[in-house]
Amino acid sequence: MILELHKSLMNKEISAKELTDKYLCAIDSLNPDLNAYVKITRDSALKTADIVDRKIAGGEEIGLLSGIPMSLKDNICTENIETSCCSEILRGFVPPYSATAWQRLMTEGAVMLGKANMDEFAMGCTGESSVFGATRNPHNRDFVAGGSSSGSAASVASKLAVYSLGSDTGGSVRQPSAFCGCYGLKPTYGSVSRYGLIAYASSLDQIGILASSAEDVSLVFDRISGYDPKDSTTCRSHSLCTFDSLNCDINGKRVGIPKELLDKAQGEIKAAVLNFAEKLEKMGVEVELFSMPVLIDALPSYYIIAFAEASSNLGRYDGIRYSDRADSYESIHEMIVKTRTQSFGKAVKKRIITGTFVLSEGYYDKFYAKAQKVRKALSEKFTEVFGKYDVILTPTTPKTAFKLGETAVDKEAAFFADLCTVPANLAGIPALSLPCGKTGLGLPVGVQLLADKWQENLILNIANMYEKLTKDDSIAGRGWVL
Amino acid sequence: MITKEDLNRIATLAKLNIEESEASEYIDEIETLLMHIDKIMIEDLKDTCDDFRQRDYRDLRDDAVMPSMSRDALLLNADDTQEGYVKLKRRV
Repeated sequence: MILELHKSLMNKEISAKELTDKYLCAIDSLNPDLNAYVKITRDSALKTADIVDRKIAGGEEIGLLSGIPMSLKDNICTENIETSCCSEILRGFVPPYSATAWQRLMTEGAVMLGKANMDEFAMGCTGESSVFGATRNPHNRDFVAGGSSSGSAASVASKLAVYSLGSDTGGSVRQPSAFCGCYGLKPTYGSVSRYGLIAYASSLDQIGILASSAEDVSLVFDRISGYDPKDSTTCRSHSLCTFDSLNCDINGKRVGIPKELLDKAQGEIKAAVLNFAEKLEKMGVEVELFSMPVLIDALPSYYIIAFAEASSNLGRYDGIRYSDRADSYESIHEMIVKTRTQSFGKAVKKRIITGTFVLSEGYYDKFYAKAQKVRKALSEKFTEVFGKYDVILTPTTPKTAFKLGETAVDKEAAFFADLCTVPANLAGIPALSLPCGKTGLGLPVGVQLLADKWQENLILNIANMYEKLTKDDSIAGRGWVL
Repeated sequence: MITKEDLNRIATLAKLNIEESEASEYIDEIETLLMHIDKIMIEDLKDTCDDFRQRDYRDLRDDAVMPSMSRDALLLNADDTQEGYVKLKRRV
């Protein structure tokens, strides 16, 4: 879609302002029902579109993302624009700086339509813990959009944004992408700067991309990735260009399907994965099942590590330098406790408490150190497996989208929701969710491709070739607003 | 088995206040997670070290003073300020 829109802009079939207007009208019409956006940045979007139009009128070259409307998850800092993480404690917080990933897009003239809804502090898998209310699934309003990048996925899937930047700590880009029927990439850890991404778990967080095609994901990734001196976890020695290899022949590639994750998936999802594998085989790809039991241990380990890091990261929210303070207090300590207690949601508080517990004296070795050993064992196993296979194929989620309110009752479903996605975060490897049909109830199904570090080009290549083979025009988000 | 005293101790460390009525909900949540981690067989991991690092961090910038943000920008979100300081209620 991005290339088509760019061509239309350059040929003056439509102006950037007209394009932006159309998306803003669509948002005005659909967002009250979907709740994908928590803030609409109408004025700045139109201002950026106007600048792009002037450049085109003046015969200037513009970047491929110039004038293309997009959304940004509300945990990505935007200078002078409220960034709340959909939490009471950051309501009204206006960052004095922009995240590097957003800055890079801004430099290219990207048009940000608004900030996308999310689970509070990116902690959740349904979008229901947002202080602004849940985002609804564009395919069926009785179902969730997924989380935590709920608004990002819903905005792309309902054509309220061409693409979106989200964040993925344990599946928060991929899972809502699967639930909403669009593409979602969690890149290699260290490939995209986390400067300006409000932290959940610093060794797991990555900014990711949601879009309606592998090509669009590739175009955005190539622009936001790369070394950033403001984030020492970004890598100098690897620079990635995935666009040029999108159409490479995938004949002879080797794909492995770990049976442990396939066996946990509901019937229609399992069938979708096997159907996808069949189509890959038609393109000359070798596919086989293999066993990787450590994948099942990844989930509890992920929770331990993520919650431990979150308990530390969220220690900064004390009501002193930012956020609303409690009104009455007798001591600074009481002010801090009251502020945090009243302004964090329950899901966030549970994670802080659990994370503090596993790091506390007497429990550190039993839980946290053990979880880190599992992480190390998982990473070593992935290295071994990628010696045999180019890419690993799994379901993105064990189940399709939940009904609104379902996970409050079915806690086990919520616990296992990220079973298939967390291994990639623990190991720091790239993973892409791509849409692969729908269930009988009309809910989208996603399959996931994982590759070794710095091999985003491989998974995007396979996804692109699959897309060309199937020519599935029903993929959510396709076709721009007219 | 996590007791309410354990929970209160942890809540103090986390600078949170957990109501008596919520305590069992928090304890259940923690115990469910710990039950899953307990199921992981320790024998599988006995040869694994716990030094997990995403990458080798030798790639740090020079130890040189670099410009930072202005004080005004950094204090923009504080509830109350005075002469460049964050202001809280007087307690002395």
